Amino acid sequence: MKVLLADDDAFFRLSLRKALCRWGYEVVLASDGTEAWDILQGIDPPRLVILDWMMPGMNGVDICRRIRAQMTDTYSYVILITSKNEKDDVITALDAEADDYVGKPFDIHELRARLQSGLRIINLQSSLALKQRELCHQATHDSLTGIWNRQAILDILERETAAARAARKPLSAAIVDIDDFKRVNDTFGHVIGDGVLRETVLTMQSALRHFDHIGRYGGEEFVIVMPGVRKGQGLKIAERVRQRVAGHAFDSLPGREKVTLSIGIASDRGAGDPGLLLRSADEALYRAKTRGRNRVEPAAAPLPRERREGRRRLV
Amino acid sequence: MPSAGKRESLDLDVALSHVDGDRMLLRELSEIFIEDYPRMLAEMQNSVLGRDHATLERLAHTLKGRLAYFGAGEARDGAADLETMGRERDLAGAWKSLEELESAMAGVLRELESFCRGRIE
Repeated sequence: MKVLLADDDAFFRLSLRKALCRWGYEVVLASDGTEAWDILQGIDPPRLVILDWMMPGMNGVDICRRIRAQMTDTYSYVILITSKNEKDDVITALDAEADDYVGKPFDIHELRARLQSGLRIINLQSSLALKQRELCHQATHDSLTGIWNRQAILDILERETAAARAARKPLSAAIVDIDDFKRVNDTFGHVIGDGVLRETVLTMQSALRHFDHIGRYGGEEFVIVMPGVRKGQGLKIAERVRQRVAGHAFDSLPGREKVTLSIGIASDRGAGDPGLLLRSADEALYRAKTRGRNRVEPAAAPLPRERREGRRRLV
Repeated sequence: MPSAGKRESLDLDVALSHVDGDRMLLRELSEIFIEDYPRMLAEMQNSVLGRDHATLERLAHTLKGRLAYFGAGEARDGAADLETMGRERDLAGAWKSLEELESAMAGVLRELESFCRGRIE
């Protein structure tokens, strides 16, 4: 475990560095507050931080306040060490959100124990942060295919629609449905059906741009959000997706059978209404189904700008 | 291991407790202290003459910390007084305090030099 030791006095740096090394810590030294702060802003900085209170450049309390002002998901455990030991100074240190406070000269064994407390807190915080990231991923991703789940892709659509409107940029959204997917499940069972869903997603992703968003909307339905894309380009991307899947020999299907997609796509030039966009794409998908499947259908012509704006005023 | 013991001006048992009994390290720290002190004293004298309160406070603070490390109570108190004078920007009596500090430091330095010359056990 790395420890930052910031003290402007070479005497104390030597004394503490030796002790910390003996206890198995990897010591990073700073001889003033500015150097300490620079180290803390670097890549993979020490999370266990020992700061002398009085230092040139920036004192230990100021550094502590700055650390706490930064919103990061990795916790820094800060111990202030100083000759100051009046009650008011302890209050100042704790007000600056230091985790601990040791007066100089300190009992070396006490410092060791306090560092171990710090280590426990850092380890606990790391476990919590990891768990939080896992939960956040679970809450926003489809467990079968690994892409965004329904709520997440709808949130993205809403965000991208607002961003496109603010930036006066186009946006397209598509709803994709796997043709005759019920037959796959009924014929081969759900395990193979799940494999087909996963393989379809991977194949669709290979045909999308890396900044397009794709999420699972329902059983075998998907939503694709394409920022900056007008109707013509959106149709090309959707057609590329359709062809890529139609031409793919599915490893998950016996006999490497083919799977086809029906896609409805709608484009929006700044109306800023994700619900309307999705409904338009859904209507187009319905037409793609009724016109024989394995095809891309665009939404009907977009509403005139004045009507869209009139509609928004009603909201 | 024989006790380094409490001496007149400092307490090497206290100092050894701060280095977890590492006599080699304590000797290294003592040598740093002995080497740095004349410069620190000269800078404190200059800061009193030049009414540089901030420098006096900073140097006296550093010296106070080091003296406490060696269990040098009397000299530590003298450094603490000078630190307060610097912080409160009141240098009346600072020169006298410096002289008292020098007097207390003579014993501290003598005993640290003796420790450094001694056999490291």
